[in-house]
Amino acid sequence: MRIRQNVGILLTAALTVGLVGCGGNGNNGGNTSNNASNSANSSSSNSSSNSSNSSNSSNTSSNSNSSNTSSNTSSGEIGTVDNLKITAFNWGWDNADPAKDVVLPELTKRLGMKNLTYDVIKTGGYDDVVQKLQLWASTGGSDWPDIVTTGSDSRTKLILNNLGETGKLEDLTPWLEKYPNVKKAVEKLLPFTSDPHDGKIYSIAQNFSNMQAYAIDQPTIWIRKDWLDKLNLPLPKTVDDLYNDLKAFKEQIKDVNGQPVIPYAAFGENFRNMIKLFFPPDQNDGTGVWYTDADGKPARSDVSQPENLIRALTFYNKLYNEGLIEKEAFTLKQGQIDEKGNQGRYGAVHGAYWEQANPFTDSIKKTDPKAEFVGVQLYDPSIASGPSLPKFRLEAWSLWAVKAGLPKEEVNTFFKTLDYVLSEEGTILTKYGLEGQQWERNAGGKIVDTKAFFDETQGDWNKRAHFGIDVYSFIPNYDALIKNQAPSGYELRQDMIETWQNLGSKFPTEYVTDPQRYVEPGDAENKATVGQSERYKQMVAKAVTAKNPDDIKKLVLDWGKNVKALGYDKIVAEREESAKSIHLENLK
Amino acid sequence: MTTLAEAQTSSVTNTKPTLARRIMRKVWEQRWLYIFTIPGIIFFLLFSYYPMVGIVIAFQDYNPVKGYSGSEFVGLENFKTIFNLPDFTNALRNTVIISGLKLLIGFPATILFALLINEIHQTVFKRVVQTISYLPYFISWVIAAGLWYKMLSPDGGLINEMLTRIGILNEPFYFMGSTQAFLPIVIFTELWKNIGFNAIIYLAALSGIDPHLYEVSSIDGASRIRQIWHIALPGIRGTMVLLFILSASGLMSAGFDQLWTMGNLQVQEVGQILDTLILSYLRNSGGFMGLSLGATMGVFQATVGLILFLVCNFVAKLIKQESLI
Repeated sequence: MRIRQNVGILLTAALTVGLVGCGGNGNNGGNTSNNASNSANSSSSNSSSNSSNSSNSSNTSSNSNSSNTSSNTSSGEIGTVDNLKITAFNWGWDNADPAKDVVLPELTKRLGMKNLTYDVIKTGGYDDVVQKLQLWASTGGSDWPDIVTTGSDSRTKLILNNLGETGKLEDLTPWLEKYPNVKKAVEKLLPFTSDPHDGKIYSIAQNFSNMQAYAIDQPTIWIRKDWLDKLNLPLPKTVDDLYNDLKAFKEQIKDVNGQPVIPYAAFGENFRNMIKLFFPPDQNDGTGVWYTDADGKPARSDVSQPENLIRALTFYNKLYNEGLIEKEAFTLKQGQIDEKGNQGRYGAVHGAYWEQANPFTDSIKKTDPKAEFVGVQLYDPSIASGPSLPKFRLEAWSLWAVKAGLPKEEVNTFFKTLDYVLSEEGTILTKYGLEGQQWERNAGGKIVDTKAFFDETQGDWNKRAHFGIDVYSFIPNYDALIKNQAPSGYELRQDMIETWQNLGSKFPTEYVTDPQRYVEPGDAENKATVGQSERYKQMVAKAVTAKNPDDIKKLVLDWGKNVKALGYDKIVAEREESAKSIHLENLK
Repeated sequence: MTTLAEAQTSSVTNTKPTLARRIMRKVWEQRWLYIFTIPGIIFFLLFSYYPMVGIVIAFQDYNPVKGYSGSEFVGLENFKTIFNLPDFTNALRNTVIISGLKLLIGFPATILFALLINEIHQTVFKRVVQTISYLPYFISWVIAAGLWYKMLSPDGGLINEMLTRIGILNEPFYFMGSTQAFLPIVIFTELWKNIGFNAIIYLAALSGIDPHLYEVSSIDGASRIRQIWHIALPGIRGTMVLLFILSASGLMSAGFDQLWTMGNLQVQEVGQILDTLILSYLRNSGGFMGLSLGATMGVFQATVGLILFLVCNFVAKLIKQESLI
């Protein structure tokens, strides 16, 4: 009895201690956080009171790096540290493998550091990244990493600007003045990354679009050219041509098992479609795209151009009701679409230029050597006389932010790192690895993979990442890339050459200069558009699958009325005001 | 003769101990029981009561950077926003309908299933049936939804193939895209997944009934149905009331996992419930308003759940003298 009692006591004690331990950790963490937060607050208030010259703040926060030895601390010149930690996120691709990584050790050596730590936080998806940032922010900034790269969605920008305004992030303005190369690289994007309230720069672009380096994502339809050849049909140019081709696929093509094929896969979980082709260029992309209309007012085409939306949905409704479109268009996951695509069951699919159709082609070729998807761009003859090349929207895809109150030597080391990565030498190291090991120069003097490296990685981005290739490209130098990079094997594929010919041009030639395309949603818009993209998708699904096409007109008109009733006019007024602070002079 | 000392002693022993002393004595007598409850109490304080502080977000324009103390207090503004969401009424109706149907069909079906299993006397068969019936419980809804999507697919799905081959359907039917078929599918899959596991509680209650009652009744000539009606059902009445009260209080939660994984754009009209509405709407919402509105929806659901719980508990007490509190 006594033994049982003692065992009971011990078990209870163990459980209690465990639970209290859990709670205790949280409490201790909280205390530590508060202390750190106080320290950060005091330091940040110092730095913010010190006008814009926060980089001169000599506050030493309690972070681990502050104990690093400084070097080069002669008067007037800011020294550096030899340990630096950078935090980043990864929501789905491979990290560098420390056993194979050749870039980080070399980069550390070339920067003269002892230790450059690249701390990657793996998350399940991008939403988790934003949640993590919110959590860090909710600790008053105390858990916020010293130097971090984040996404650049509106929620993240709001977090960064809020943190900056409360003195928890460093104003990077003076650092950009000190490092002109870094400033030059991100200068065009500064109007979109600076805080709209105080004009300070709490984040700078980490990775961003470039008109000369990134082929534009055109509304591309990939279609089975071998089937068209078999039926003696040319590549489609208009949406009506596409309809006729899909009809021919349905009636005349059978798959390897002798079963009818599915002419066209659209929508799916990524909601891929051609609706924007039924509108003037750059005026429709679901519900999120605003443009400046002929009267100079902000407008959204799903509301302001109902006739075009009705035409688009009627076209899709015809395809659906005639069995030319995947029956499960609104329930299939991308993986299921890929499965059917790889089996050669689709006649046409959507995809950006870099994805989807080529793997389908490679897969189908195993059983059907003639199989080939090629990309085409279509237009709607009732509003256009030919396909148009979209204009280029300059945007940051990810951002850098630096915690306020760090030792200036640490921030200096970070900017030195960026400065080095921006150099041609740094770009080549971080993008291609080491000469002779991962890359060599071809006869034209361009960089290509060594045979051994190509054999090992087969050009696969994830496998290349194990070696650190393209992992530490902290900021892109597009001039260096364009100068050195040889066309990839992918670009030399026959189907890609033909696709580029069909698309007309690989690179856009003009920037989007409509300020409405750059305005961030404000409070009124955030409130009035809760759930709107989801409801838009539901409306499209209803319209496309409607048994009676006459229902489509009512659905679209009701949609417009509901959007207006939820505060469309308030958003127009808010956007008109916001557009005044968008300066695009450097894009013209 | 009673001496003075004896009288004094007697008066002391006759004095009733104070309430506090009595409580303390009782606590001391049952000290081990109280000690054993400590981990549980700490657990609930830490993980259930302490997080309740977060409810304050529902009444604020919450900004994580400013925290609870710095965020602006907006009163019931968030509740107004939630109730004015264009699909709120529809989602509320769907929630009540789906929950109601699950309760209406699932509750008696589980009891019936438990009674049927209880009537099986072949041990091996009984165990096989039980195991098969509760295995789906351990499959996550993500996998279960994938399985049902595949089986019900109009493009080579098992069920469509079967129905077209035996001539019930002329051509494959798109079950998961049909608003008429969706609700029956939801109820059926819910039963398929949970009936076996939920029946365990009733089976445990049934096994607690004195077997002599069955023997005596069979001597008196009671049929199996009579035995179920007069012995088994009254024997598990307490369990039934308890589980009904708990199920009814969850009326505002129609099964997020199931509806999130099985729902799709074509059936949102009947498949969108409050939980999925708030997640799908706020996942991509701008600013920080998603945090406040999510908390607001939680408070709304919990409040309605609590009211339902108290009402059901009161009614059960009134009718059958059985209740949880």
